[in-house]
Amino acid sequence: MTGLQDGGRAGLKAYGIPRCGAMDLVALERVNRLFDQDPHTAAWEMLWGGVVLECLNDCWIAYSGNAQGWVDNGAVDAERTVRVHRGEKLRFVPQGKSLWTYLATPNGWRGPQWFGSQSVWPDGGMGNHIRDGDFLSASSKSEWSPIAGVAARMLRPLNRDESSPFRVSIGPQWSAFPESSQQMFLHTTWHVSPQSNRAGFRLQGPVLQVPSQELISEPTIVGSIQVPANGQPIVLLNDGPTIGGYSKIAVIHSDDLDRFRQLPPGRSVHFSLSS
Amino acid sequence: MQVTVCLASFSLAQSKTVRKNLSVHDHSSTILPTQGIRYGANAWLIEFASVASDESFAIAAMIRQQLHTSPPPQLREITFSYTRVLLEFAPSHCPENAPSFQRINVSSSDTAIKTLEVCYDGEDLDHVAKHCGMTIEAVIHRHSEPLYRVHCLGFAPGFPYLSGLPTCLHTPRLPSPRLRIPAGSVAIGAGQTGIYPLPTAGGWNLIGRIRQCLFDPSAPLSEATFLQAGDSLRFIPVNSFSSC
Repeated sequence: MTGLQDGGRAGLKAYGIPRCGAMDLVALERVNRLFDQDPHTAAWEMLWGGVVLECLNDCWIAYSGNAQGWVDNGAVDAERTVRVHRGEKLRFVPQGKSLWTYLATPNGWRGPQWFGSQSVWPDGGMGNHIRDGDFLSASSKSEWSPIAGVAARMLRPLNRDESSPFRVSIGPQWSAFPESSQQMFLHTTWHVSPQSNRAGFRLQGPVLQVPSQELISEPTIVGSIQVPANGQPIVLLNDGPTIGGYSKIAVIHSDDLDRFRQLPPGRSVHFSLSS
Repeated sequence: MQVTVCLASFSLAQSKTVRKNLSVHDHSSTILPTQGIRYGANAWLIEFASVASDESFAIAAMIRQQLHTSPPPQLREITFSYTRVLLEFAPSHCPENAPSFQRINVSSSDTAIKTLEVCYDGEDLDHVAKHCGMTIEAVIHRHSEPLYRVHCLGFAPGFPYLSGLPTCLHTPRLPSPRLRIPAGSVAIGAGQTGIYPLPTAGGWNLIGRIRQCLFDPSAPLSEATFLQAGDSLRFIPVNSFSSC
């Protein structure tokens, strides 16, 4: 699954339109920084990898993420500008440690916009993922080159603390949950369910008891952890509903969301309450 | 028709005490009784009513107008539901105290009355009729009788949150939601009725379908959704769409 994603479309939730946009904004920003361009310029967001591209015209690319890039038989580093030549094959081999890898090019990629954003959202009627035989093209022909005498640019690696718990603040219905559920939520090792997607990640673990009173549907924010009747939390993410009727026990801190959205199914998750 | 419009002075400085009793209206004060709930680092969720009603609709209009005429600094996103409004701010610009709003007269702008032709042939129509102890014809009649009000859009693009479903038609949600229901499905979920603009998952009882597209992502924003908050809506039963 590979589709264009940029910083998303803001200010449209009143129409029921979610923000969409890159699941790992930090990775998107870093890969665009290599080309000195708007950090939210659209890049191809690849789930796992597995993409093979044939280069039809010499071009610069860079990628950020856990998939391993190859140009023909040579491995190329992430977060480094790479010149790819006509006839060469660019491949991304899944490594399985994190979900999303971003492929950028100078000035971004050509692709339609919906409400000011190139982010695709097939369920919302906004574009599609790439398919066999599609052509990808840069949005402009203007040449980019590294500083004279420099063969390539690279970034110092980002060291994410992969083991620390995800910081949460209390959700709007926190106090409606029984105290036993609050404690269970904070002290459980949750696991990311395979039934997760860009709209939300499901978590597996012990069954949380939900508030008895039904909630009148209310607006949601990205990172909200809602608990439906089956007691298994769902973290609402980029393509998720803008209004929902399930009680929200907590909200993941926005600075921890990019790391969270990279978690593959099966990975364990801990939460810690921060003010 | 323009009625009096008092321009709201928008106050960010509200006392820290949370107003809890929403049912008591102190008419000597012009501040709307609201309760601010902090929602993550960058947002306030403000409860302005306890149930969806004509009153909540009117208060939402007051708040909407004040947010429009004098938005608080660095406000990025406004999302209304029946009884709450979510205000999302740019990172580290969320005010320490929940914004407050005044009771104002809102210009009763031209409320659009929109109609949607419905073919009542949904797969849960029998179930709804049985649950309500009515004939299918009675369900269709009662569902298409009221003038519904669009309180807000949300959940999915163009999905209307309506009020006005007759109590006799209230039907519990399905025990387990369908994974994918067809776009244009008209449905009843507990005390609400609505229309799914896109093929999404959903747990409401399907009673019919419309042909009108409710969301067109290729249209400019002002025309992208068929319905807008504040509209009135009437369903017109049709036997089929084949005549056109």
